[in-house]
Amino acid sequence: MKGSPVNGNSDIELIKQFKNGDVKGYNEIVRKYQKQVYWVIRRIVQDHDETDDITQEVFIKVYSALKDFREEANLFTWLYRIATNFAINHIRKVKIKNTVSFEVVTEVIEYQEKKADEAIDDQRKRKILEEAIETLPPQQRAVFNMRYYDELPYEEISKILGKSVGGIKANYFHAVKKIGEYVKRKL
Amino acid sequence: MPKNIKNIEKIKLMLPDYAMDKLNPEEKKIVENALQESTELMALYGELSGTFNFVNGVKLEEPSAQYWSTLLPRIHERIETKQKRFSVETLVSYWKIFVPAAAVILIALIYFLVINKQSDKTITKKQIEQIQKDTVKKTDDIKKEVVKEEDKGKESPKTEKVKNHKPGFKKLPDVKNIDVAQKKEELESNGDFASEDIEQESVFGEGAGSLDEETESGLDRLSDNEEQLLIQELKNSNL
Repeated sequence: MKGSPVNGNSDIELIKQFKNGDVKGYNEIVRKYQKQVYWVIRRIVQDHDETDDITQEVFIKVYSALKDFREEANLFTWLYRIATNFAINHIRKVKIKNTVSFEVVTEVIEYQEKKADEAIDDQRKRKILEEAIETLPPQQRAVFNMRYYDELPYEEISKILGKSVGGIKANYFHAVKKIGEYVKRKL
Repeated sequence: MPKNIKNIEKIKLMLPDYAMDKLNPEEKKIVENALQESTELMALYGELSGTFNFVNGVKLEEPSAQYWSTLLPRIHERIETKQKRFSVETLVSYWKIFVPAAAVILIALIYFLVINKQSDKTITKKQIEQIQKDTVKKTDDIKKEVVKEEDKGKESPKTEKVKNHKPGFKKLPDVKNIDVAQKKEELESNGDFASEDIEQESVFGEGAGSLDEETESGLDRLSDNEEQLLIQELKNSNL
């Protein structure tokens, strides 16, 4: 999962195949990158169903835009950019829609958790981490996922998000700090 | 001092990578030196390391193998649906333009047809009015001729009737004429009156079918068309 699994020559061949009208090239690209794309989105969005929907949207976008893709560009970076943008746009929309209801739901969950007085297990840890990540601004969230989970170099993240390397480093630092503070409060 | 603060800020940003062991040896050495000098940085490093330990211990649920095998067909399904929807939407967008355009053309067509018909009717009315005027004029001419004849001293009951005739109105067989017919019968039985005179007096009472000689001669001078129109008008003017 970690790192950029780009096989440049192979990608170019697949793109050419698709441009020549053979859908097998596209299918191969989907199979090759579906997990990476899924996890890029999942770590930003958190919810599996929403991730599934956005993953499909990303590959539909790829299907329509691949014919205009310049072969000298990096396919993985391009996919990553599309996936990140789709995920960030999604959480921005959801955040605007569900600001109040999310808080209410969180309170209910907290109440139930306290009452049950259950031990901190993996499921709860996961929940706390998801919540911690959800408190991050979209860009910090994306940077954290790219750097921590996918171990992308700062330069590549900077290309994907169109921000300076210094800005990306600052985003990453603040993201880790905020997650730590949230986890500390919750445990 | 400001240089130190700037360095501390720079080293702060390097701490997450140091905690994850992602720095090159040179950067690593710089951070380690800074940590030995600054307790603040050391505390921060402790916090960040704890966070990473926590995050490392959390495993997100992996989707099932079935999920990955069905993802591609589902993507193709959605692509097809979108393409179909796109074609329907394109068709709808064409209709959105076509229907109002057709309606406008239809309205324009109906409008022009109605207008043309109305203008045709107007022309026909004008023509009829013109013909009526011509007829009146002709009738006046006939009258004038009759008056001329009267001036020549040839005035007779027949010409009197023509002189009194008004175009557009036809004398009905009025009470007077009925009386005359009755009188005629009475007088004939008495032998006082010639039946010929009474018949001549009631000439207009019997309708356009029995015009007197003068009128008929006037009508002969008219063209066939004018004559027909005049006769028709005289017939139609009967109440």
